[in-house]
Amino acid sequence: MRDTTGCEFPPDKVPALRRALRLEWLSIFYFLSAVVVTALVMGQSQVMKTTLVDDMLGVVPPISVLIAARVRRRDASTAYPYGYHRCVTIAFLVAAVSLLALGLLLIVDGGRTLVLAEHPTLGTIDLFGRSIWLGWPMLAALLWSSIPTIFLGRAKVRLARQLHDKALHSDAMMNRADWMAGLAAVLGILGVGFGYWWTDAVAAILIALDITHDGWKNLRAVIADLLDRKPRLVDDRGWDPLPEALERAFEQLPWVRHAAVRLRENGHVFFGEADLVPTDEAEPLRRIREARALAHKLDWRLKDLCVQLLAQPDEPPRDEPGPRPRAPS
Amino acid sequence: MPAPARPWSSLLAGLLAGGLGCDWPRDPEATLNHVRGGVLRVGAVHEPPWVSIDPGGGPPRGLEVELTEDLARQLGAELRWQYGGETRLMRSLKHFELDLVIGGITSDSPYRSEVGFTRPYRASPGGEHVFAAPPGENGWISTLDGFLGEASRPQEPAP
Repeated sequence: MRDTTGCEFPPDKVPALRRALRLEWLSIFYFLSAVVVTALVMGQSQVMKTTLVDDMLGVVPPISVLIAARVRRRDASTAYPYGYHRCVTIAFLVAAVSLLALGLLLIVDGGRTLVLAEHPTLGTIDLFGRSIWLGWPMLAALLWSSIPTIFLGRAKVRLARQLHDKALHSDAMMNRADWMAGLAAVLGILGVGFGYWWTDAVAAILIALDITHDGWKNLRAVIADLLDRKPRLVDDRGWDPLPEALERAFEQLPWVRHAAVRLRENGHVFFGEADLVPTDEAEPLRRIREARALAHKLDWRLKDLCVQLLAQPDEPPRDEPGPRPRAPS
Repeated sequence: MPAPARPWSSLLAGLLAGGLGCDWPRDPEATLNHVRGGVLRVGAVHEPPWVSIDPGGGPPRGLEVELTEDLARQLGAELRWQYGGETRLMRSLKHFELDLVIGGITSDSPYRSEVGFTRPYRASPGGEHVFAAPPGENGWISTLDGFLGEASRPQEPAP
């Protein structure tokens, strides 16, 4: 009774999934517009250059979420017996590495501008026959590339919680941090207007630090996923309580003497094993069926649970004194 | 390099003041301030008809020389000429030892990223012509843009 279909979500989650995908399409178009607007007024400003890269990077998570949404619908095949649930993890590995690399590159670039004391030239442009300082359209472009991200980020966080979608969640976190980058850029450009050439490069470095931080955080999370770490809550604030909850649920069954559950995350869903020690050896097939049905009922993410009956419990894995505390649940 | 003690607080104060005054944007190296009523240091590259330098030691002539003389008159500045090749003059400009470099410079010049260019004020078969200013002297460059915009307007109907 292994469920190897590509379908991941129960029917009541489908509207949230549709909204999430619509939001990601919207994000792509929005970030492309921000790239165009920023490129039009970029001039020689380091902070505008960094903002441009930041806006370009903004389309990477939505694209990976959308591609993953297509690929993971495929059913498992003989060649890929576990299905395609993990494609989103691969997308995120790529995104995290590129964020990290570009962030570091921009820190170096901004640092070089600062050390060489390169003064950014922001001249004037001709707008409807009037000569205006290039800083003003730059500020307008910066507001366009930062204020809408606040609303995008908020909407995505809500949906990510409902869907247990970590890719969507880290996309939302990146969007939410974007307004701070926008504010830094605004201060950088205003500073140049006041005759402080260095505010441009300093603001650019701050934004680059933020990009690098995003990359580092995502890389850590994605590596842990690839190592099949125990499931985490979608916002990474603690362990997901599901394995323990499942053990307790099994131990409520009259015929179970001891239950041990091991789960790992595959995209949205959990795969894993349940080792049950029964009180006696009666009706093994019916008991396995009953245990599986119980798991499916407990949580929609328990997609592919392998249940086995053992005569005595295995040695449990040792508790690792890792840096992360046990979940408060 | 004038670095005021509390740039961020004066920045906010300036924001409240509107920042739209005549002194905006400001020059990090205060070029406009020392040119106005002071000395305008101009580097001139021999490139007729824009700039012709008299080997006999007479005053330079040419279209851009006339424009520069008008500019100096408007700002009440005394002109101090320096003649030479583009490389040397651009290097001086980059280090704020000159205020202006002229001589048929076009907007696609490779010096574009090293120093500050004005907006093109005139097109010719050679390209779109600009004046070169020190890098990042945004108030000065805005003033030049304003002046060149005014100066080039009456010439446009001419063939």
